[in-house]
Amino acid sequence: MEWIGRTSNEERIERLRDSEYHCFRQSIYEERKHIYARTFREFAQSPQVIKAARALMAFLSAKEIVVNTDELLLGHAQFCDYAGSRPADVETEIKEAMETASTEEKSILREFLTGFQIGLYGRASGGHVIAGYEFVLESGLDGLKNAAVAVMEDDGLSDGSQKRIMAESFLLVYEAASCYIERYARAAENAGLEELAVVCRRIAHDVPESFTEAIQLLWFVHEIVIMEQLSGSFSIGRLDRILYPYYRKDLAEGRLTKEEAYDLIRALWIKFGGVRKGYQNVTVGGCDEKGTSCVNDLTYFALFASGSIKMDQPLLSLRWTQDMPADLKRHAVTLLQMGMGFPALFNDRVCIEARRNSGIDEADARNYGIVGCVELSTPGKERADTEGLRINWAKIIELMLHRGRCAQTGKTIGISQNRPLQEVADFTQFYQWYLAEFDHFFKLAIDGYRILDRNYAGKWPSPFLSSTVKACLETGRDIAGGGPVYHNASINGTGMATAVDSLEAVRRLVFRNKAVSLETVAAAAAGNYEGHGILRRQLRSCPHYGNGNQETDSLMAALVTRFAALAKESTNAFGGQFYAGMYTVEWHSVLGRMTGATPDGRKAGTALSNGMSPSQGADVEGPTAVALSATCFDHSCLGNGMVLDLKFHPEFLEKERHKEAFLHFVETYFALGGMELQVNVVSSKMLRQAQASPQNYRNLIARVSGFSAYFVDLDKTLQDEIIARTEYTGF
Amino acid sequence: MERTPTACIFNIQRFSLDDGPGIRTTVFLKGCSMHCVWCHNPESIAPGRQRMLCSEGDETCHEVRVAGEYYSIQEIYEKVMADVSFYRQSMGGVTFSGGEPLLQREFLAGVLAACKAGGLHTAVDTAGNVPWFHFESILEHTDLFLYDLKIWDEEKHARFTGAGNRLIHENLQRLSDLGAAIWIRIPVIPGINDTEDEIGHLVDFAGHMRGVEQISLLRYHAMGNRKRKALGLSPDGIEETVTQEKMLSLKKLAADHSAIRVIL
Repeated sequence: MEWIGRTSNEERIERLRDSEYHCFRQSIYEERKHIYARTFREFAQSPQVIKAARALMAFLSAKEIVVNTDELLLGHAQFCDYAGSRPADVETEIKEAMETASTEEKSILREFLTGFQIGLYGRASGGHVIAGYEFVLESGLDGLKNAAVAVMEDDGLSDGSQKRIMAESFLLVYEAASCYIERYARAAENAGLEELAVVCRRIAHDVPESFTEAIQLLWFVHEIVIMEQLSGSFSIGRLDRILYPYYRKDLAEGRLTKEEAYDLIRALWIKFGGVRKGYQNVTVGGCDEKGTSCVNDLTYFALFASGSIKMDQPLLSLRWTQDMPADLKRHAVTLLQMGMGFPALFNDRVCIEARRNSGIDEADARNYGIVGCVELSTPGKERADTEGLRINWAKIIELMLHRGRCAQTGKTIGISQNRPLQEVADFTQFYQWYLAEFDHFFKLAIDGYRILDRNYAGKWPSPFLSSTVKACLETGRDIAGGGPVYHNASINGTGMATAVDSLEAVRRLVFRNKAVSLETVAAAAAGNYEGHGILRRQLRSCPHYGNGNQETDSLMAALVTRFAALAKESTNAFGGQFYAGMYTVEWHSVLGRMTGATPDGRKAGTALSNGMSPSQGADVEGPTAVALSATCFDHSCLGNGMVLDLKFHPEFLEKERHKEAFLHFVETYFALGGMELQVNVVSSKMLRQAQASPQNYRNLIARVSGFSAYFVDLDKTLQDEIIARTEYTGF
Repeated sequence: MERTPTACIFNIQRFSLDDGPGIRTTVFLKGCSMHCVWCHNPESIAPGRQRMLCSEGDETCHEVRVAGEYYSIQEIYEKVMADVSFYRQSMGGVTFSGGEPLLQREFLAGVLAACKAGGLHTAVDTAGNVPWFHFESILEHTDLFLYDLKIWDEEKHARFTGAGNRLIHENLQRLSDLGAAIWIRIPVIPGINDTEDEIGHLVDFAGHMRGVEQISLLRYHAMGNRKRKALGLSPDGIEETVTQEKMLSLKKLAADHSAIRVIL
């Protein structure tokens, strides 16, 4: 298919795009907070999930309806950041868990909390799933209500049974959704949008039949899912698959043109774009249940829409298969060339293998969608709390060098072996010690997590989100309470290359060359290398991960494999397993600020390495060496995904033969076993200009780690980190 | 014991996309039989190791960098083979450039034979200013010649490159007669050869030879001056630039004068 540029609706699309941001009101959070508090008081005697359902109902009936006359789709999420998400932060969550914890658990939680305070751990609760959009579209809201009523009328269930209570809460939220959509129908009618009024009136109850109806219902479900939790990374799954039957039927029966369908996709993109920092991932491409490419027109429209709308949302993920059409591959490069980091490329073969390794059955393994940044998930069937836990690998070295003391805050955490540095005789001993602490802090993280996990669903139920998941109705459990088919957990790494480069520097300089003692390195790092410029340069000139150096890469391979194996043998509070993830979102910057100077010569407070990428600027051998280093271990052990970020200068992809070579590069990296690849096509020069004059670069989008964002919205550490990444110009 | 040849190499560039087809590794051999005033790799001219003042880096860096490192055939072979999966996928391979790689004839022949035996596509980037027997020793193991032409007028050629062009032209003709695959490369240098007359003559000469598959016009850039400074040399004295319009019009001219592909 040829790239679609402008359509006859262009001006209207542009107006819609420009007006989307004005729909957001900060005060909505205050209103919502009051409504929730009031409803929870009013229904104080009811089960928590009923309170949550009633509160959502009250909120949706009061939520402002915004219709402008250019709309092609209705509804506005009015979401920005996580203001108001529940629980507010991990400290609050841990303190609440303390209330019901045993003495032993309390001591675990105290240590766990210290880990967060010193930048050893990270966590973002809530969000991070693909709701059951297909289930809602196939059933219709009234169909779902009937299913809930059937459970409630099941004579085999006692009055207070969990299943009956859950069904009741579902019925309430389905009603709330119908009423909300009907309010939009009335508003559309008043605004003269007669066709949309009809669409809304139908989908408030019935199964959607047309493409417009399907896309409109999908958006409302998505909007309500976001409004219920006010969390991020609610992702859509395989949009081109979900909507294709409606598209094909309408097209065949002459009710829809390709151009109209494309404009509706663009209108949907604008809705996603209005959700700031929402990390809404849309997956397209990939294979069907038989394993053959199921690319369709909508796959192409998704790429074109991202190129046309140019907002930082949705995060577009393309499942890459050997048998996908060649022109789609070229369009993907064209879109990447625009510099927004879209689409992220996922190697279908390896992702599916990773799903199998996570115990997902074959049909579901092939049907994965991407959550948030790069996490693999079964749409409508799975919750794996993909941002539930993360460990800073570099911090562990800092703690070893300073007897468990955090160099940034001065706080102390218990390390398993408090060894005098002068007694470490050789690198093997140092490395074994690192592994012991690695295991120790891994176990503490899991132990702490299990206590939080047990409490989460009871305290913060999500009846609407759960009600889109078929298995939750059947099991009578919340999506976070063991409801879905797959109820697992995730643990991610941060600062992998920083840690490996630090270990390598210690091996070379301290033990192999005996150029400096471990105590001196520790003291120099404690002083942030002030007055130790030469030592710092020596540390920095040791081999780095990312240059195809086998000795260094094998450290990385050993640690990642160990991390994945530890994850696999750990369980959450519901007996589900842990997936390992090697991507870092913004955490390489956030935890980097909380991490002191490291033995690779990195200064205190600066960013850690990003995802599975080499330390910033350390990859002097170019992208082929990076690809070889990154595939030094089997990526299919990473059930929660990984990121490899490469940065190319904009001129690089201008020449046809360079585009061609880039495609060969991607294919080779994937053949080597690479799972994911994302590309920044923006010059450091332009990024520096944007940093200096943000007002001139409002729309400059950069790929961070697994997601894209407006560059000027990022904090300075993160901006510096992106600028510092090696930029390939082609040679 | 047999003597193993080594070569002085000043750069090994992986993911090289403009020195032959596909994804390649380009190995730059040090030492040249010409000294073109505009040379963008001035450290390539003198044979042997050479000190350069490091002008970049952080506040603590006042180091000297050494350009040139001696490698054996086996060492280069192993470095090149690291990216073999990328070459296979992209129909790429290895390119030996310089300097003038043919000056280190024994090494070049040996490393090309090794790469050929390893199944790689091999290319040699040459300025052609060497006795013909240097070519003879590598013909068997070279799949493609990147052949540089600079200035048509012989006197002018000698003035700006330090060598006449008769031998260069003879060697090109002999390569062509033997059926070698050849890509012609012409650097476009402002004030020196950026004229229709110069480019036209060069293309008329080479563009119809048997085996010549394409012509590249390479736009001058001033990056060599930073390296000249690091080597303690004076700048090339070229003040002007070649505009993109000029490049496009020369490209059109070259295409009109030949029956083959012309690229920028």
